[in-house]
Amino acid sequence: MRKPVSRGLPRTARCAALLLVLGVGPLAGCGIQETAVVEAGRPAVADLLPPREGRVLLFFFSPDGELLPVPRNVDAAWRGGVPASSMPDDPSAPADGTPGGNGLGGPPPGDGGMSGPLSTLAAVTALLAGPDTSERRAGLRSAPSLPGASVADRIDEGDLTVEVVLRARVARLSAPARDQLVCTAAYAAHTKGAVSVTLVGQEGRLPPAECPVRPVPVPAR
Amino acid sequence: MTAAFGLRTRLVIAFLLVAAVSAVTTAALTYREARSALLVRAQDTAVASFREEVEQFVPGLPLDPESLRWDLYAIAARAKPHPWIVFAEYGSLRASSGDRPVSGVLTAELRRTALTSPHGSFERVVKDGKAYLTIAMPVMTRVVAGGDALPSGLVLFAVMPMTNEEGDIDALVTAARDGALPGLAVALVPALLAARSVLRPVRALRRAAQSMGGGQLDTRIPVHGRDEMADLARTFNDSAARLERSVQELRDAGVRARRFASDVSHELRTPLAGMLAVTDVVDEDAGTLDPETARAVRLISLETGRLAVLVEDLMEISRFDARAAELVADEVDAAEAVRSTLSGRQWLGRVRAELPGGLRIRLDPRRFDVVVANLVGNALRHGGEPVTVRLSAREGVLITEVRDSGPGIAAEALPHLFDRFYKADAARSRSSGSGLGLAITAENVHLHGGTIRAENAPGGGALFTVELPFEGPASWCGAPDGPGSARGGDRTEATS
Repeated sequence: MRKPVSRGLPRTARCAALLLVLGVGPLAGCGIQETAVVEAGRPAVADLLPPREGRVLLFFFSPDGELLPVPRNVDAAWRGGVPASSMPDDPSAPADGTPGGNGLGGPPPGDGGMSGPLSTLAAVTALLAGPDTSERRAGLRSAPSLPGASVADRIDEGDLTVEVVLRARVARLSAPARDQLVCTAAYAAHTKGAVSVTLVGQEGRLPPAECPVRPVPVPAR
Repeated sequence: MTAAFGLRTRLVIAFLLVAAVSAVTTAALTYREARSALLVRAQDTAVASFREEVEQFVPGLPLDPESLRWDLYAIAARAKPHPWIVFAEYGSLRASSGDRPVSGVLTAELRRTALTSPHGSFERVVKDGKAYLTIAMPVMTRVVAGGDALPSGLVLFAVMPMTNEEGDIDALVTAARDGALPGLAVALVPALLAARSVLRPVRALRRAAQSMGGGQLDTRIPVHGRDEMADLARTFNDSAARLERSVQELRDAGVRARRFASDVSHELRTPLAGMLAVTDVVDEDAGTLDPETARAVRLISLETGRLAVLVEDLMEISRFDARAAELVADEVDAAEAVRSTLSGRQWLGRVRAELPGGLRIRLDPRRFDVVVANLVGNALRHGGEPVTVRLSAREGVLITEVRDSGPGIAAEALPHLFDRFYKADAARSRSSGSGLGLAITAENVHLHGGTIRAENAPGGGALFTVELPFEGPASWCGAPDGPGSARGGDRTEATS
């Protein structure tokens, strides 16, 4: 009688320990636990950009290395494709000519999304001039291999194609620099940037490219 | 008692364990579900309302830091479900609705996710023991009204302390604990009841087994219900009944056998008495017969006498078996008693007697005479002379030793010396003894409450030692019908 009793108790104890672990296990970790990052629905979507007639969309890199659309307000008429007020601290901005054929900020929005070559040239020139003071304060910058503002020569626009002619060697441009040029030209030429852009330099031309930053349908959730 | 306590303890512990496990598991699962629901609701509300407020109040690009801060104030003022602090990050620009432009709670992982994934996201962070819900809301901008959108690079973060949720969850824990502990206490009651219902039949079984061991073979257990305990009780009762029946049959058989022996001896006694009378007469006239007939007549006479002795011994043994032997105790001088026995049988010349005087003892003189006569006669017949009889006293007992100078007793014969009809030497089977002499001697000694043993003396020869208490058989006589006689016999054999 003794022996089974003395042998039974440790077994009971083991069972008890097991059951307690099973039972108390779910309670381990009271209170609020940390989580990993959890995706929760769609992002915020708003109209952050000024109306198309009053701005030019440039593409700069954020400190994190992302290509961002940066609107720059144009409150005056185009003068030679360059909005004068947009580059107050850029003395090298060309001031060639009077408000021209495409003068008032390009065509109205209803014309199929295409804007004139002059405004595209103005956008590319503004891009090459680099970020302005407030943009630089926000940490926006151009790719180092992007040439100066004076190299923009002319824009040849076709149907869904844009040629940007530069007085520089386009082969030397790094991929980020090309992206900046391509995107700026594409969004200047088309509302949604849906054109292919060919960079033409002094030594030749690059294959046509499209802007990697394209508008996407907003996720429903 | 310890076994019963152990069983009860184990039953109660097992019961409580089961109750504890179920209570704790239920409480834990409920708690987890409730906590999860609580947190999910708070998070979903916060994320949805933060997105809504951001879409309503987000400043346009290019950012003006001053107006941006006012917009952040506006978003912070509409915090739901709890107050939050809003942080904005655009490039290297940092702004917030609080005192510091950058939060210490936001993790790098959340920032990275906000910049790379086109989704809102949240992360629960515990910092300094306080839980925060941090929400990252990347802002996308439409390029045309109502159409597709581009990532703008602007990310708004909300940091919301989850103080209320912590309070609610603590309340949940308290509720779970307060529910589980009384549950355990309540479970103690059925545990004790169950233990009692199991232990009661066990105790009854133990008592019954004890009483059976004590000789109460008619012990039975009341059988209740149809459970395993009832089965056990039924089995116990059946076994007890069978045991009782077997024992009763054995007893009856023993009684029948003894009565038969007694009856046979009684029946033989009367014709034998007649035969003895005839043989006495014939014996006297044997001289006048021719030698052949005379020898035959003497043989008949001798054997008839031996048969008479055998019948007397059988009747004596039957009386012992039937516990009908009576002790007529008297206070006598031991030396006198022995001397009269020896002289009565004309042995005084053949036996060396060492009989110190003054040993007064209570005993039945007739039975003591039988004991001494049997032992001395045995020694004279089977042992070798000289035979010594010595009396001594030690520790309240009278010691009577009878020693012969013969070859002693064979070792294998020693344990059976006092058995009935046991003959140590097969060659002596035709001796004058009935084969019951030593058995009757032992019964007589036991009747006095004494012991008898036989051994081979160191100097050769057999030595029989009888020890009788001086106070007489009084202490032993109190239970003349008890098993003392049989036990005394066993003891004798064990010591011999």
